[in-house]
Amino acid sequence: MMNTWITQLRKGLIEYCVMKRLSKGESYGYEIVQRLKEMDELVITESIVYPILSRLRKEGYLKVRAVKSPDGPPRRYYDLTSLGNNRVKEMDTYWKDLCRSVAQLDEKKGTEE
Amino acid sequence: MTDHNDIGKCIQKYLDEIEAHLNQPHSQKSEVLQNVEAHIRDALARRSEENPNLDDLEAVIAEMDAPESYGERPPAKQLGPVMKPLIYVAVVLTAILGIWLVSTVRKGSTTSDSPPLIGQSKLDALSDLGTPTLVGGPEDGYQTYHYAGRGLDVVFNDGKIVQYAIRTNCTLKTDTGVGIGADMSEVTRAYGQYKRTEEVTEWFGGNVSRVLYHHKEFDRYKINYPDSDLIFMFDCSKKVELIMVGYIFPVEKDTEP
Repeated sequence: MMNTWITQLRKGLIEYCVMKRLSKGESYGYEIVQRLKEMDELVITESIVYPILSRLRKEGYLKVRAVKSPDGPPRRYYDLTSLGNNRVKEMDTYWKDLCRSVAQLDEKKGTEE
Repeated sequence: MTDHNDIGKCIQKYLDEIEAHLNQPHSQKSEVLQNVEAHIRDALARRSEENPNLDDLEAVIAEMDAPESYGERPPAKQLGPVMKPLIYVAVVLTAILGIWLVSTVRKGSTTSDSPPLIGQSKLDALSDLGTPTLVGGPEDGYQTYHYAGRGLDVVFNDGKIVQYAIRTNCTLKTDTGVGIGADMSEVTRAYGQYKRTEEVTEWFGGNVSRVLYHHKEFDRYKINYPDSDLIFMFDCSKKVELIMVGYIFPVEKDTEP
């Protein structure tokens, strides 16, 4: 049961983390994956990140800049669009409110005890 | 020394396996595959700056996700025999739920905030959409979850959503922004003008692309857009009252000039 809860929680958070990373500046697939892999709690791998990048671009939250590579396909640099920036701000606000509300549950419990 | 062609062939084999498991539109598939290939090249360059060999490539791929991680193989595009019953069931249920009576209500767009439904697993659908109000099937491997309050029916095959129907109360829209309540002219502007009109007596016959079908008894219209995997149904005032997304059509050639 714990695993199911963690899986569900991770799903939405990964999209948030991808957008948070890009809110710091444009980046490309490999770099984004390596950076997010550092977050052990989320267990993020490329098969999760690349479809999300593609979907967010299609939905208009990301724009892409292709840079030619001497061997292989062009490297695709992703960046937030203005729509994406607004979305991250909304996500930030929601996340902070959510954390505050959860923390308040602990505080209330403390005062009741 | 490893031939670059060998490395290229091995990378392509891995990409082909991933492609077989990706259940996305072509443009998104291509983008994912390009990112994966660039990922492999970056990882190889880090591992061996000069002349990476097949051992290096094997080590890189071993650290990457298995192709199966990208999703289950999409169903084969041979669903013809089951499509008519599915469409029939969806429409009949729609009628039962009484949505014809309130067919011109238009909601604001939430397309960009909505999860991509096609390809979603049953577990994910339950998590995102909640418990269905009614479950149909399984029949011939297909199962339908009806969400009356959301105005949404989703059809599963092999544990993944392969089709869904948007009805009144549903705020989802197509990728070009067409939603419930849109005028027929909006649909034809976005997906192409119909070639001709045809009267049908069966509910709801006609699978030819871009023909405006009209059912006289029910005074309802339908246009198929197989290229976009879409069916639009319209009420008597030619407003969209049902959109079927992801429907794969039986091949039926237009014999009319």
